[in-house]
Amino acid sequence: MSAILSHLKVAELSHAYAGNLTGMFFANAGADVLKIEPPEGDPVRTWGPPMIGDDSAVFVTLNAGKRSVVADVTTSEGKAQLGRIAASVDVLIEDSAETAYIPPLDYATLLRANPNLIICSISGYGPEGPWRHLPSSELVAQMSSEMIGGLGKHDEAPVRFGSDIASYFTAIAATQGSLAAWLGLKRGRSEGSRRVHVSLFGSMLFLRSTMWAALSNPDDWWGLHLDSYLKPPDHGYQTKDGRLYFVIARINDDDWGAMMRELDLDEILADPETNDKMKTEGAAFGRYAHDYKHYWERAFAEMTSAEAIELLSKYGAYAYPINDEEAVVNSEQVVHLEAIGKVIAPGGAEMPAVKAPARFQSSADDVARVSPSLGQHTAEILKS
Amino acid sequence: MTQTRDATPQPIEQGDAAGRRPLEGIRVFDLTVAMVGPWASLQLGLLGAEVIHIEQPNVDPATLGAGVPPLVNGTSIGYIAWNLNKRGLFLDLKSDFDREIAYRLLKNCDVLIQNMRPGVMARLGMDYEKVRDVNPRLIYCSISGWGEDGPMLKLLGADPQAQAFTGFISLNGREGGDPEFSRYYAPLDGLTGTKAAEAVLMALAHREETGEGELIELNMLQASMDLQTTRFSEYFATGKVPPRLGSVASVTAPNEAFRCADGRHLAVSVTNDKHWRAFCSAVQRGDLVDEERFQTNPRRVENRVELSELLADHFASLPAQWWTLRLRKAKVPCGRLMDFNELWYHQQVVANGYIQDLDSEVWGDGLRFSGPPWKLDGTNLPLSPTPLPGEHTAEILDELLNEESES
Repeated sequence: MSAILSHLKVAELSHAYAGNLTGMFFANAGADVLKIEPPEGDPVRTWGPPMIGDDSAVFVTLNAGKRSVVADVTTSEGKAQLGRIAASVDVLIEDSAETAYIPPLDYATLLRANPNLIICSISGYGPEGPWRHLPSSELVAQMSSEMIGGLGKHDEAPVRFGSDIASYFTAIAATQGSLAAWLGLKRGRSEGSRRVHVSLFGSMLFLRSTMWAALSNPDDWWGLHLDSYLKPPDHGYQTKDGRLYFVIARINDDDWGAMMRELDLDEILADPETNDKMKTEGAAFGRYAHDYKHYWERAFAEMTSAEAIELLSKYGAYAYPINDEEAVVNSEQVVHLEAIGKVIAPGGAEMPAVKAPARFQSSADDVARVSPSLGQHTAEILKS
Repeated sequence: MTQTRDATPQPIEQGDAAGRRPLEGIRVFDLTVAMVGPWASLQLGLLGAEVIHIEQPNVDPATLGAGVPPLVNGTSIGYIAWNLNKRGLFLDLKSDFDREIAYRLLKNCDVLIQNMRPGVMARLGMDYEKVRDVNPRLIYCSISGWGEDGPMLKLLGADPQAQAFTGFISLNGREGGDPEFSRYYAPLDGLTGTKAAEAVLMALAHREETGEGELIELNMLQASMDLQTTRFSEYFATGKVPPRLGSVASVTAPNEAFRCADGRHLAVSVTNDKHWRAFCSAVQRGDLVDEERFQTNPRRVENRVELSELLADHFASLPAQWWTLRLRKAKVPCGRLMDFNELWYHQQVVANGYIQDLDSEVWGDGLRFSGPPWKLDGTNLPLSPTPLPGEHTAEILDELLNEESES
């Protein structure tokens, strides 16, 4: 068994997360990924603490399984080396979204020299328009795309998504776009489309198509979550020892009544209008969830999350703990799925890492991969 | 909301509009519901694949698209936003007659995508083993909430549940405050669908080389954890749960939003040493460049609280626009929040077609959707309106008969 993309060779020129993640997606799928670094190394090597030896933990995670070659593409020698590398690969990923320090490459020459090459450029704001040359970043992309408006309060300091969503979505787009262009070329569909462009800004905006459509011209202005601006941030439901989230779906009236009585919420049952609203749209992301939250939290106040989840589940509600990274890693489901693998730092230190999520039946299981030290493979890559 | 037609974003021309889209000739059998599945096939459609979206006959339009509100002309906005660039086919897979039609169609399909609850596909006679017998070259992509087995198999698995369970919201919130759900539509449904489209493209690339079909299994739980892989690396390296930090980035500094004299917040990201030197010069704090405690990124991260406080006072002294001008000139990433109206009509959005208006006979004029996240030189990737459920049933069945008589 070979990995799904073991027939592809990819070069990655990147100074930030989006390019590193794109290379990771290809490396996880078995492609041979050559990471081209400046003499001082990819800045992501310094993105810590935490550090594992000389490199940041995040660098080791994102670069396991790649090979590192040093070439300073700001010099004529480095440009020539880049040209030789580009002549030998299927895809060149170039991420200049966060830095203005990767000079524009000579795309036409690179494409002429290798008629099978796909070049995918990752920028801050897209290839057209007045901001096409402006640098961006994970945070700046979350801000300028208004994605950050999904969290926090509008009259207070911004709250970002704690995960690096702009970079991650951009990396998926870069992987998709490169593979689509490669397929188009192979299948004789699109000889002209060997240049692919994606951006942090565009990927964040793409994710929100539902929102643009919902804001356009609905029959009624309420919708998930068109009125959220009027409401405070949603933290789930507080219990004695943590937080939970639950959904009431397909509960019959008898079970509902019994559940409400066991939760000491008989007063709700006595008021038909409140009862109906609370049962149909009074929890989770329901229209009236915020209005009724205090009832639920009063009921859960003396229960642990586990007890409350057991009670809700008994009556047919779907209930879940709100987990942090430690709790989800140790959850039965994640252990059952064997979703955590490991990566190895250049010095040999091992560290757990989340496995690539897609499973391909024809592909070998995930194997531990080693993150390269700076320039570890320069000689072998440039001599060939 | 008022809307002037002149300012309406239009699809951009991307060179030669006659350039063929890369997935033309790829046919997708789209047996998807809610958001995750349709969002995957929509992306293949944008890239030129022919996507046949299946719905049950006599379906109630308000319940399509997971019934996600609001409605437009009585149809869920979810269905309308997630099924662009497809054709609609009615099939009742519980009937033997329609199932036979499905098998005949599948002979000429390249991809099947499904996100039914576990077990449903087998009951419909559409599980991988059965469908592979019909077409061994098929890429079969199966998307679930929590994986193909395990203790959570039967639990409802959709976006908010994934936000709660996978750690995603534990990373959102003020420092020392509570975890926060995303208020916006389904980021993790979007994530998993996008990852599924990526996996299908990988399998198509593999098939191009080997001629082999493929079974892909993907779930929201693992996709959502992979989305957090940078933050999980902090946990795995230290054994400590990564904290919520407001707008602050965890492993680079300074990288946060500062409140300026006019009350607006400006996001500033210094992610390498060149940025740091340019930043200090641009904000006229050259005295900080060579201070030992701020000299390298690890030192700045270690002394982040001190650095933040010092810079917070500095940024509060002048308005956001002043800082923006100086930081842009120095090529340091910075930006502020734009509201919806600014965003929709911003030159950068219009120029790249990132948000587009799409008129439709069915859903009305001026509905707004995201344009494709990719630009391909020389090839246009236009949006086409969502079909009515089953709208192309007769046309698709006619084509099937023609194809069968030719082969």
